[in-house]
Amino acid sequence: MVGKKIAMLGMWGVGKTSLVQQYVHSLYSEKYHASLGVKVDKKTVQRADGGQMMLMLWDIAGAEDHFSVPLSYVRGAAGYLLVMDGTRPETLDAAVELVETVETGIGRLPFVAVINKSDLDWTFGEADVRARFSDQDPLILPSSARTGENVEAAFLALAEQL
Amino acid sequence: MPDRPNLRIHFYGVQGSGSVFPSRAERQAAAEVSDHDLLAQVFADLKRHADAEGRISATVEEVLGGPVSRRTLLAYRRRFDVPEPRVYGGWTTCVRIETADGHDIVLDCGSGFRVCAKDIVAKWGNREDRELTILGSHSHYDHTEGFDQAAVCFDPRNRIRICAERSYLKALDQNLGIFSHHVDVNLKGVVTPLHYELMPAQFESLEIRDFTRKPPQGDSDSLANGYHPISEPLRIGATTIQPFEVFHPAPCLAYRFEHAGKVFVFCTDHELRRGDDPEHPLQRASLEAEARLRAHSMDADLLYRDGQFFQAEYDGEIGVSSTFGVSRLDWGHSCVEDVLDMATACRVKHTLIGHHDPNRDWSERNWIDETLRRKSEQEGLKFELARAETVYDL
Repeated sequence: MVGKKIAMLGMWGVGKTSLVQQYVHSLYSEKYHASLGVKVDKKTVQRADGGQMMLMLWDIAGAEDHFSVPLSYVRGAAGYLLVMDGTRPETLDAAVELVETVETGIGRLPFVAVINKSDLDWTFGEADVRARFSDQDPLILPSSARTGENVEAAFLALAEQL
Repeated sequence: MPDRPNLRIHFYGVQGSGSVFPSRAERQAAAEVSDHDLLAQVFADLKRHADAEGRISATVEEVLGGPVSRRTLLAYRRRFDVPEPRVYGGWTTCVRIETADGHDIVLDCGSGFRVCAKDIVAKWGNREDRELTILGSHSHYDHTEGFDQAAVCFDPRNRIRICAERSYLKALDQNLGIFSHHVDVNLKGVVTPLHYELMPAQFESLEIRDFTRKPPQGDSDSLANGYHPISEPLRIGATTIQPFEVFHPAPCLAYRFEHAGKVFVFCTDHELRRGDDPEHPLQRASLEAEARLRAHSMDADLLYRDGQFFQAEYDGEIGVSSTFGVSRLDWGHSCVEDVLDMATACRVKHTLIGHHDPNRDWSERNWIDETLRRKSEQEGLKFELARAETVYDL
């Protein structure tokens, strides 16, 4: 079976861990636990062409002011889920910086842009994200780790691009 | 903060394995952060001179408070408080404790001991009381390498008492002969040009030993001038120091200090082993050591503990600041995640995670520390990466 490394990227508190937990374990916790370093989970997916793929999900702690995610955690990834929190516009800025960092340091990788927390009131939306990533033109999905909306769809969509 | 704290704890070196000199890229990254902070404050200050449309209407002299000169430029700079870059590593392990009743106690003699000894020499001046107690954790080089560079070892008036497990005493003695007054002819001058004849301080050794496993056969031997049972606390003035064994490839001691109800636990180089077989002898020994550490750390005010790896690094999923991972099982060091679990369970008020891996770069250490800050807010306990050149008062 083919194995692919997927990096979870985004500012702290956007719900990267919750998305992985929902996707891999069908679990959701209301309590926020800041992630530390990286935690690796695995999940087998069935691609549209019938082939199976093992996704190694690298849940990487969020980018901080001044201190972005170390690229050593991203190297070797086949693609990434770029996660934003629709209620916090600064997470879009952070996402733009992360993509720049990855493309400068590693090169262009396929990614799916996820606007998380669709169960809450957003302050920015798909059009804002599309405007900021017009060059990359990624698939943009609204999601909710709490309700499960588009969680599996986001990972599967990325797997199809790998 | 009391005028004279019960315990004043100086961290000279918290780096694991080897001293770290910041690379050019790291220096540039640190400068960029400082520059950003300074410029943000400068432009906020300039806004005071802006009109409703944001146009600045002021002379340079009005902004600076005088004509451009070194004095006015520096005075202007001093208006802004820019945090200095955090130094997480630096020298290898050395910590000094000053007690309220005037004693100096040093933990380990990594490369930080050179700087520590300079401070002690400056503090002592020409005073008559010139006794220093050194408590050793274990024999590895990064915990002994600074000994023969320390000014305190070269003044014949100084009395230096070293209390440690036997292998630590041996590590110091085999090349220097400071206790036995003998260096094997094949070792003399090989690792260091120095030896006891060139180091005129008065050295004494006290071997900390588990008497139940190995009772002393006499009062002393060529390496140990005396023995102390590990089950009993050492007392230095009003400070009680309880040594206990932790888990490392070499015999290794941790220490619990208590002075007037304030508690500091020093635990460098300890591995909470993450093996698959719970019956493996090493696994059992590690868990027993972890239980001892927890028992001695309950409700501590300050804990310094080895947290060199993340679990993913320990498991070999990833390297430290590298994609190439290798299993760290039995390397003798713990995972950051386990330190947090332990410190939370033991209700440790303030935890310093140290023995940093030398390969972890400056930006990543800052990134980790920012996350720890957020975790601290969540837990109501303080966690942070240990930094060199820091002082804590208890």
